[in-house]
Amino acid sequence: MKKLVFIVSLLLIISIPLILLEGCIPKEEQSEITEINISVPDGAPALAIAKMLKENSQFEGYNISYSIITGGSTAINAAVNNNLVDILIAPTNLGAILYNRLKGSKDIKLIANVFNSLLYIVGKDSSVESLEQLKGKIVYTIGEGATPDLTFQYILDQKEIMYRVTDDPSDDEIGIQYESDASVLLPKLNSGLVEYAILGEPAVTKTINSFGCYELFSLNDLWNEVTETTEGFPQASFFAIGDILQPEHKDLLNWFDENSMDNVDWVNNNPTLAQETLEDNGWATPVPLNTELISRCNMEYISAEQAKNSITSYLSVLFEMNPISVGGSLPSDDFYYQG
Amino acid sequence: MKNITSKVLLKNILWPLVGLGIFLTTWYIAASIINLEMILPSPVESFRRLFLLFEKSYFWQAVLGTLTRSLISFCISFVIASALSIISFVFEPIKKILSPLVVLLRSVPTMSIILISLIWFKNAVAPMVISAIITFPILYSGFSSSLQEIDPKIVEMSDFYRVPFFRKLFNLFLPYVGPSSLTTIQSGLSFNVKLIIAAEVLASTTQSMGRYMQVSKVYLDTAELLGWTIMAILLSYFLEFVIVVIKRMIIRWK
Repeated sequence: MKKLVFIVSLLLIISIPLILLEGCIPKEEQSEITEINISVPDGAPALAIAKMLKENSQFEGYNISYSIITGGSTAINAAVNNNLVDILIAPTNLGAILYNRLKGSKDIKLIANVFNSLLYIVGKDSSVESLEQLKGKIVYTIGEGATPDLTFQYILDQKEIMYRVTDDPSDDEIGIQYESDASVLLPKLNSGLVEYAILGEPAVTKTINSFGCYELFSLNDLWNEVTETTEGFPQASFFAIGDILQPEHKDLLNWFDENSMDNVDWVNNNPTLAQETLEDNGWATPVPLNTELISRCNMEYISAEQAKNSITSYLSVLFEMNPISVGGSLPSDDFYYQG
Repeated sequence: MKNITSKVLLKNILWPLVGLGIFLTTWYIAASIINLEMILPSPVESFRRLFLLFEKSYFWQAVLGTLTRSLISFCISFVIASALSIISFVFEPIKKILSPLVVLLRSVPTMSIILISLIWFKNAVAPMVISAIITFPILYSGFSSSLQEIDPKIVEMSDFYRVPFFRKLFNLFLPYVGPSSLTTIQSGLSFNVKLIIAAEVLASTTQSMGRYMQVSKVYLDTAELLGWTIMAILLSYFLEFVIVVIKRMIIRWK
């Protein structure tokens, strides 16, 4: 009995300070930030900082480090939760989710939209010209519950094409199946286990170059078709998190804005240089970067103010499909950074 | 007599409840200190989300799907493991032939098996293959060592008196091997559930608990993720409980 009481109190004594400490550490760090971390996920998003990586661009008074993080949205969330990042690229709806979930503890604002959809439906049968032809087939997609899944479902809804999550679709519906990421989907496309897949760049180029697949549809084009717009949908954006949003760092964000805009042209003009730079910094994408691939990425830097309309309508669509996909409620105006 | 039952009650129910209480309290305190549901939701919220899930039909389909997959893969593993352990018990060379294979299977990193299976199989099948492969060496070794416990002299004697095979099976082998094999089965079964869920997360299997856990992770909905986790624990516990009941029945029968 005595032993038990001893052990229990020991556990409590050990655990409570740890928990308290955990809550305290970030607060201490808040007093000074001159260290700035800019992170982008591996894959196409890394293109958005290629020039800055190459030149190791710095702004007076700050020590800026650039990094490419592997591990998808999980790694992004971990970086945000552990205060490891000040500016990052994330799927636009993930930014909205973070905005809602972090409310009251940390500020997060969208500073610019940087990629319109870079998602494509690929397949080995080049004769497919309309989505109707995919009835009775299975379309595999990455990102269940995320952008690829939701936008595809929205497009099918608008086109009034029936679909169901199944591996045995009837002749009048499309079957949807999920894979955790492109690395699992690619070998299955190659072996023929998967006929049609929704993938993002640069995986799309990989399937075209190496497995004899064709780009059948661009989700951007399909989106434009069903929403009667021309802009496509804003898939990924730059977000600023935490103290960097304080007024005293406004100049830094303006500087970042200009550099990012320059970067878009630079990448388009120097694909080989961009690839070398990214590879030196841990880019794990085994596809040669060419202008075709870059144009399929739909990279365009549009500041929050200008992009706001297309982003709100995009997030509203997601919200109507599943409120949780934007974090339960549509972000209010303070989600958009005003420079 | 009454005194004894209350003591047993104290030992078997009260103390475990105290342990559970300490766990839940620590969780609750930690959650209120962190005060951010995305990082650590309170136990109250997690259970509330679980109860909300109870009303959804997809929840039960997912639980049933995961349960079915666990049972199927466990049965495959069980049949192969028990057959091979009996064969290798009877024929010594077979045992020697199998031994490097079993060591191999036991030492291959779990993640390698998972990653390779994800590429080879459809996502409804992959979790079953994965957990059957990983559970097999555990069951095989467990059964083999149970068989070793049988006293060879008694076997010799029963052979000498020409005891019919089925009588030998039910009155000699099963009573000997049963209880310790059931312990192996008990731990193998709940291990199997955990593996199935892990594989389902990675394979995004339709109608599976793992898939919904993955989705709640995507939405940073940690409370719901913990809700599913509680259900997974209950499922493992339920399966272990069934085995314990069977074990008691066998002991009584013996």
